[in-house]
Amino acid sequence: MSKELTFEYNEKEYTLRYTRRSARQLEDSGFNLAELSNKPNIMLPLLFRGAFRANHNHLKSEIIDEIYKKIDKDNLYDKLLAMYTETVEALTENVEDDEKNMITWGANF
Amino acid sequence: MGSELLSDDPQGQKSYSDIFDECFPYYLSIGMTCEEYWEGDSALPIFYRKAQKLRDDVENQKAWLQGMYFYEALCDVSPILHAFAKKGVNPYPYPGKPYGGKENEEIEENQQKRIENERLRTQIFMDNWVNSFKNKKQGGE
Repeated sequence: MSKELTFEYNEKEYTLRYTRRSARQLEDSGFNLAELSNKPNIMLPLLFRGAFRANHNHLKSEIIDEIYKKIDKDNLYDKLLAMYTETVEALTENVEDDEKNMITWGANF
Repeated sequence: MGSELLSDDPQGQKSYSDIFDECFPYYLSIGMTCEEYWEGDSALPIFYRKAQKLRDDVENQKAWLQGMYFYEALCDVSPILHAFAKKGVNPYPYPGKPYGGKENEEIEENQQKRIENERLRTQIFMDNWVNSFKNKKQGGE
């Protein structure tokens, strides 16, 4: 149901997801969504690390760092952000009403 | 129920933690457990809200039905409610069965059968009557 990210590393399955508790802990560790564009080198690794807390809380920092160096980062941050923002969106958004009122747009490029 | 849960923040700088804390009491009130809210599936609140809406709709339906019964009772008693009601006037009887019950469906079904039988009987009578005229005419010729 909720958004998850899975991968394998050293023959072990990892499932990254955010709970509201782990999202709160992420904020407590210094992550700030508003500063993401200004300080990406600080915020993005924090965002990645925070996604381990829900299911892999006892994983060593060194292993997370290893994974972070080697993982394919194409679209990774978009997915992590979507997982993170879902913790708030699920609380406050009325998905059906939003879909009805959504403005569609087009582009010529 | 969605963004109405949040208070207006003049600075627009509400953190996710603040939002979680603001919404927590509402979800507790509609049956979500503490563990489900903080540790559970992120998308779970969507389904809790939908379930709550369904419960609200059922409660509304019940309240409407109760109002109908009150209205029916007042209407049935209305002939004797005013000061100058005629002697011998009685209230209308209150319905013997609830609205929309299975018994009501059976009564309606029986009524439909009775109407159909009456229609067929009338049809046969008319056919016989027309035929009797035809026979008389042919006999006269």
